[in-house]
Amino acid sequence: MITKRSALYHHHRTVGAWFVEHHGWELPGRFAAPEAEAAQVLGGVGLADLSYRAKFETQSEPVQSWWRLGAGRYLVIGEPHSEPLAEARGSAGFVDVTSVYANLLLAGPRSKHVLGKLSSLNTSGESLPNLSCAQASVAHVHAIVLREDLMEVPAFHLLVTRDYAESVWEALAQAGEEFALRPFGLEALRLLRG
Amino acid sequence: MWRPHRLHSNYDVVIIGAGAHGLAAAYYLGKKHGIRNVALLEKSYLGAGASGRNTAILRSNYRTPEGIPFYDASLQLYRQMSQELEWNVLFSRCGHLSLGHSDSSVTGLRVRAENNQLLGVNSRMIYPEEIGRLVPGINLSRDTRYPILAALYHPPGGIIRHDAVVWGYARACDRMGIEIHPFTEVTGIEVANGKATNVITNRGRIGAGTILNSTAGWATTISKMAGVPLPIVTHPLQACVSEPLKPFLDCVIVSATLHVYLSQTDKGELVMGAEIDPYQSYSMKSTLPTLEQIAIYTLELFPQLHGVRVLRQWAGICDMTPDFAPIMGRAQEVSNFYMDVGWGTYGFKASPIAGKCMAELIATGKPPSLIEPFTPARFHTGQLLGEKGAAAVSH
Repeated sequence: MITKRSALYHHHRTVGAWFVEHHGWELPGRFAAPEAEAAQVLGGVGLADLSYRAKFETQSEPVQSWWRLGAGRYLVIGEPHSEPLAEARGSAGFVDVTSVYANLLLAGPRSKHVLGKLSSLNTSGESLPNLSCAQASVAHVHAIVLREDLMEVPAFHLLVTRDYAESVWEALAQAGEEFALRPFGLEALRLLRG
Repeated sequence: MWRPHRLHSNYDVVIIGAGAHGLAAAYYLGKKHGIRNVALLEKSYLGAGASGRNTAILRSNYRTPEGIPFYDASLQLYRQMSQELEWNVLFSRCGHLSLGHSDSSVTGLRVRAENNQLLGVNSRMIYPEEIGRLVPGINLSRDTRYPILAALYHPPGGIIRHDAVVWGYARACDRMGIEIHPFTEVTGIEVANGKATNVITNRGRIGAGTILNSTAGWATTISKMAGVPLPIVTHPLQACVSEPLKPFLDCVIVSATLHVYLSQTDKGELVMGAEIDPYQSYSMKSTLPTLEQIAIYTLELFPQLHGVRVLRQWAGICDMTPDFAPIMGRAQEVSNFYMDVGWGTYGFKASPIAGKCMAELIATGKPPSLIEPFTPARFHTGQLLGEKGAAAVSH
């Protein structure tokens, strides 16, 4: 009965998103036809709001599927109630930071170009290969960048503190204009994940 | 919105504290009485004090024949404020529910309902069936420590954007040529022969024809500078706000027994407030025990909120008087020193009418009948007010 809203809710509403409830969060299911949104991601670049994803920080090395943020600082992120998250829960120094960060997903062959315009982060395959992470300033906001490719196209999860989510989203949308960046919803993501 | 000014050497009226109260007083001085050589001194940014730290609840369902008409006049001014200031203050009249969890609290609420109705304020008692219709998510189970037995329903109450109120008044004052001086801290007041002459600030000394102390939290500090003692003690009060949720609550919920009050903003955030901290302090730090208390009592009312995260917690400081009623009037000790202070936990909802009445008092020298009972002299004559039962959850 309680449904959470992402920091980007009002932004999504002003552009006419269709919302769905997903793991207790109200998020855009689609902005346009999901097939067209998915095609745009595969052929160019798209931007999605995946803030529902559970994010835990812990100080002890988790058993599986973790990202190392620094010495003794680990991030476990994924679908709520999935196994890696259940295992990390309650570990030493465990903090649930799900609501702290907005989770933006920038995906598509052109995603590196968009990111390159807003950050000095080196996104080349050697420097930031698939399944690696970095911390960098993106549109002047500190971001945790997780690379998790989608169907062979580069995809970057950007975790930014929720207060700056709208600003970063708008900066990405503007930087992506020349590459015809479009937002995409959870339905298109489902198609892309196969 | 408002222009910066050089501090001049002299003003007809110097108002200390540019929160909603000080700004409202300046607005009515300029608008109704043509007194515009006025300086507002604010030690921080506008709205940094209690005006930006309250939980933005408006209501007039008070208990006493002095309190009810006063707060009702304030609510009327709030209703017209967007038109008056040509500035949207986002008042949503969503209704206000004070819960009763015991025979004695229900009796107290019934007294308020009767008094409200006698004085023309829309309030009535409602019972669990109607409470459930108004607030579908509330826990009406009888198997709790404090089951909900009844509520005082006050449809005209609601919530407003407190920053918008401050900005709206500041913009209107600026347009009349009234000077707003943020980051100007008062460090002393010079008094000679029972009359205040100069105000010393961190930006220099200014002459003042009349001084109004409209600070909250520092009311005693400022009045003491003029040699005016006040029967006020200062306590912090804490509140917090949750992450935004899909709308599920469209009225203000108050429980004096559980020491908590909450409402949902237009943005979806839940604003939750506590009673005043049990110790005296000027600290504006938030503390974990209070957050825990707010969480526990909020979950008593809405168990489904477990797992909802708190985004921010803050504290404001409240000047508490012995009778839980404010002090409005002229100081007996200093003939041109006026005070609009002692607002405890209920100042924000009174700001337009307090400002309007203080402006009239300063301009005419005669207190309007609405604020006569709140005179500082009542502590000498022993005519205290009995607002404690309805003023706050802190009793």
